Amino acid sequence: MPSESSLDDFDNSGDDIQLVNEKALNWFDVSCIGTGEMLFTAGFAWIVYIASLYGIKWTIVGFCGGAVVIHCAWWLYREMITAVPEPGSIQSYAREAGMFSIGTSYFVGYAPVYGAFMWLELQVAQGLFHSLFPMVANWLWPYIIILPVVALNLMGNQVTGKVQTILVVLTLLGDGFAAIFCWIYFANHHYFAMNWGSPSPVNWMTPFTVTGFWIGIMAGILEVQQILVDEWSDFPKSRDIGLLSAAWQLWGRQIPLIAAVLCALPLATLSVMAVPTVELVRARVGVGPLFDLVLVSMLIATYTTFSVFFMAEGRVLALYSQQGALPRVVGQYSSKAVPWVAILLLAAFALIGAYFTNTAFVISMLSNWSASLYFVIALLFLGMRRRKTLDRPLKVKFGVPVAVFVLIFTAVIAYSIFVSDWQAGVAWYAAVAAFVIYDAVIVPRTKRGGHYRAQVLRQRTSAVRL
Amino acid sequence: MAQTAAYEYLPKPQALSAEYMREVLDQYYLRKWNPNKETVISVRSWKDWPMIVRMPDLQKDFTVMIHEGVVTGVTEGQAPQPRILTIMLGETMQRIYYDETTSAIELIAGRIKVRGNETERRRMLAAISYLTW
Repeated sequence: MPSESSLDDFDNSGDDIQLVNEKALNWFDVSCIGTGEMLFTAGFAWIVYIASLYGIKWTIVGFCGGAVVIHCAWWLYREMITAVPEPGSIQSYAREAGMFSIGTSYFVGYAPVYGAFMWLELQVAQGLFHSLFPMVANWLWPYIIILPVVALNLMGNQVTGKVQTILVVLTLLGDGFAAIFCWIYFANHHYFAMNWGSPSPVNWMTPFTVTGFWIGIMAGILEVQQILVDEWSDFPKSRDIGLLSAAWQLWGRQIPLIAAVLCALPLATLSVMAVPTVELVRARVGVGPLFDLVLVSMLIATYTTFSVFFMAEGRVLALYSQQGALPRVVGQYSSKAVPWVAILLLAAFALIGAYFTNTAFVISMLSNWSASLYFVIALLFLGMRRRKTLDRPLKVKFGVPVAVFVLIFTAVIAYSIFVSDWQAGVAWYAAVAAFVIYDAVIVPRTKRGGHYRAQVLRQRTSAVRL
Repeated sequence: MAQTAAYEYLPKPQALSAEYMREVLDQYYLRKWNPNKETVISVRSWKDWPMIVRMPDLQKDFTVMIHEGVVTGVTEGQAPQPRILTIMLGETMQRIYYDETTSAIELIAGRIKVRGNETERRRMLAAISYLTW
């Protein structure tokens, strides 16, 4: 065995080794990856949809509820990723919590969930382009939007962490300028007062329902960065500042602009616009520099979200194939190190959105996902907290009270979202149950899946957690 | 996994040593990595690139030289200007060598960490993924 002094000299983390051209992700890159993933153009239409149902007042209340949940989730994630800093993220936490299949369903299930977000993205982009170029057949737009992004991804020209940072800064600037213009020239007291109250009846569940809808476009902001944990250059700073500031960046980009939009026209008029930010500008000042600015911001956002969808979720599907749960071909990588079969599957899935246009159903189903996601995260935290054999036990202050609060709060939110559209709720929970049964019962009985499961659940044998 | 073991393994020692592990790595890359066309293609752009394999339980580093995707040699210690860093326990490598598990599974399980340039790291992950089957 090595002597005590050599043990001190040897850096188990490998931080002492300088790699050529590494360009590890700093905390700001980590922050931008989260924002980049959430740059949904459809996000603005989603907020207008919430406001059109409940008015500005309840939309603000729901935003505050969502922000509380995100901060609590960050507090729990912060501790879990410190104990288990693995790219498997939710799946790894679930493994340690003894709930492997539930964690897997929410980890791998993010691929179709993100795909359903892309359905909304496709619909708003299709609506916008059709209004700009009515002479082009409407059915062509989904293909015109998706195929170039798929081609770029297949060629290996993916949006990487560093490129993402540049794109996010560009959209932050674009939306920042647009927000200032909209506030100065379009917003007024008349529309603010008109849109303030709720057009729908309000009861005790309303704040929870609205919070649930908000979490629908907030969930995901903290998750993708954790998959890239091995590439973080400064773990404490990326975890404490990078993760949480992603949420603040998203809100900084979204809230000022959407607040101005909600005070610029009646909600009924805004709610029929595919991309309210762009179409508001066109309706008020026509095509010009401001219109070009918001249009370019939207195009970058659309490209970024689709590209991250194909890059990140393609790898998740390939990963699940490697776990023996999907046919081997899905895990096939090309010579450009791209999971090309998974990307083509995801592209086909995203294109379904061009033909499935029941937006309200999709939004309700996604809200069921997001509300239950943080319920599961709190459950995983409590499961890990109970484990006494973790090399690095969970010990953060207020961890259990925060997890219990999230558990109860998100349970009520999930209930209120469920009853707002029970069919979408049943569809979501049936999908999760089917996934869990498949992962827990069928996959371990296959040759590859059984071997994988036996090895991945093997007890760790070293204090360095490798 | 038995069908992949059509060769003699090194005998398992009582305790891991650096020389034994160098032999294990050498044989692993010779028998598993180099004959795997997809793995080699994934990193064929690497021309005389050193990859460091760090084993915290052994307190040792090894350098794996890769040229056009093919591993040309394994030596103890660190070569200058490494491109990729892989951290795993010697015990994990031993299990992979004896076909009890695979490097792809251990990577997913978080028992292998890979650091490097974002693009090259992706290539490395793709290369490892082909070592699943």
